[in-house]
Amino acid sequence: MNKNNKKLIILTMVIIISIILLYFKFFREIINVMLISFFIAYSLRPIYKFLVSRGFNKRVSSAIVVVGLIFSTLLIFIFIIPTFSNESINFAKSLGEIQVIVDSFSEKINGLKENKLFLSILDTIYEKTDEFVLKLGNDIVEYIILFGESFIEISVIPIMVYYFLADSELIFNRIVLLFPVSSRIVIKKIAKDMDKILSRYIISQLVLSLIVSILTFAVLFYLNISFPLVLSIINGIFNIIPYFGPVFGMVPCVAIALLKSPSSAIYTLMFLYLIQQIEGNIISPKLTGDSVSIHPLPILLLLIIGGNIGGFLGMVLAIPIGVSLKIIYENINYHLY
Amino acid sequence: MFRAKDFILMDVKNVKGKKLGYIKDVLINLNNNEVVGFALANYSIFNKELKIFKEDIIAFDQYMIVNRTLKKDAFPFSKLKTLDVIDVKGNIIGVVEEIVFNKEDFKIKGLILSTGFIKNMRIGKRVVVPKEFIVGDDNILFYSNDGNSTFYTKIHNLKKEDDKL
Repeated sequence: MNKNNKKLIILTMVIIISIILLYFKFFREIINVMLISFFIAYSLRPIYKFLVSRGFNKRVSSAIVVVGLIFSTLLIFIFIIPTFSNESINFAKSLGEIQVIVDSFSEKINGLKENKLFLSILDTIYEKTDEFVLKLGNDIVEYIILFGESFIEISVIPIMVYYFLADSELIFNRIVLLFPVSSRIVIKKIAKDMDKILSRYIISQLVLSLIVSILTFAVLFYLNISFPLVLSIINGIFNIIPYFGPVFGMVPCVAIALLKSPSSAIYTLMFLYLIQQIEGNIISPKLTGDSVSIHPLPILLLLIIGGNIGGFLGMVLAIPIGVSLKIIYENINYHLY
Repeated sequence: MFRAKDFILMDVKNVKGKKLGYIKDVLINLNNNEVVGFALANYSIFNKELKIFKEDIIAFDQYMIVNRTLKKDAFPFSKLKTLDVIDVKGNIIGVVEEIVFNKEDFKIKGLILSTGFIKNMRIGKRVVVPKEFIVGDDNILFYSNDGNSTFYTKIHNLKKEDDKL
């Protein structure tokens, strides 16, 4: 028991030291950069594995993936962001138009105009919407400034992604050395299972949101609704979240469609719902498959907890983390008995 | 001895090297107590439920190679997985968690039952052998044949080592 005691003491010391280190901004930034690079590398790993299976050298495949990443980021910046910001400015103007429409609507209904309660409710809604949009604009500007400030860290990320992709086995073997010898088999098994399930999940979610974005864009374009690009990207991004996402994504689209005419709003609603049904019942089960085999109820719970802790990002990360925990539990359950 | 978990998520390819899918369930025959094959989940859009049977398995280790897939009907182990196991008096002994079968002929050697989260850690998981139970619709009946010995699998070190108390 003496040896076990010693191990426990060392382990607690390591944990306390790492918690203290986390308080220093310096270490937090380093860990942030590493985490972001790791997530990017892990999400791009399927492409890397595909290139390797086609016969490319490990380093060449990594380089191709990283260059592709830089290239597409540049593309996004040069082409999509100006269109995005143009459409967003018009978006704000459209909000004002919505306000005018609601006002004229309330005037048409006699009695509503005089109703003090209705007026105060309306005022609160306007205030809250204005606040929200203002805050959103501020947040976006802040993020852009933050992005510019941490330019050094940003430029390190592609290099880290390259090494995470090319030498992933080496890095993993070194990390495994941190754990006691007897548990290494379990750790490797857990890592293998997690890799299988998580990479499948990530690819399926990305492909799903891409498909939804393209379909939404087609629908909005066909119905001649303004800001198709912004709205379809928003819808695609929100679709990553399983049950709440599509609903949140539909709301802006229908609101903007309402601007054009109530009929186009109804059409938008119908088509978006159709897209949602196709995605939910046909495409999604095939892609996500039976591997993420958690009952919907715990998934909802995870989403709520994730949303409370980390907002939108929390909701997106909640399910992979939940799946990882389930895998760890199952493996420990198997190996312990 | 194999357990169901050894095979779940294993990739399956055919002789030409084409990936057919991955194993998502174990198929059993309760009449002669053996594992007859595995159920595959595949990636294609068509809703095919493919099954592979043990006569067609060529080899397996990290992944499995098979001759062909069939659509024959077979009883999946997942239907047993959450059934209660009750004894003749009606007490619940445990809940089916795993199946244990032979390496050579795939004959079922027993079921591992979970007795409860804390009880698992105290007493261990109960193991029952095929001649001691009958599978019903809602649960499994355990009628102890000799009534002399009960088997448990207890918590042990992750490291495989010789017995030392």
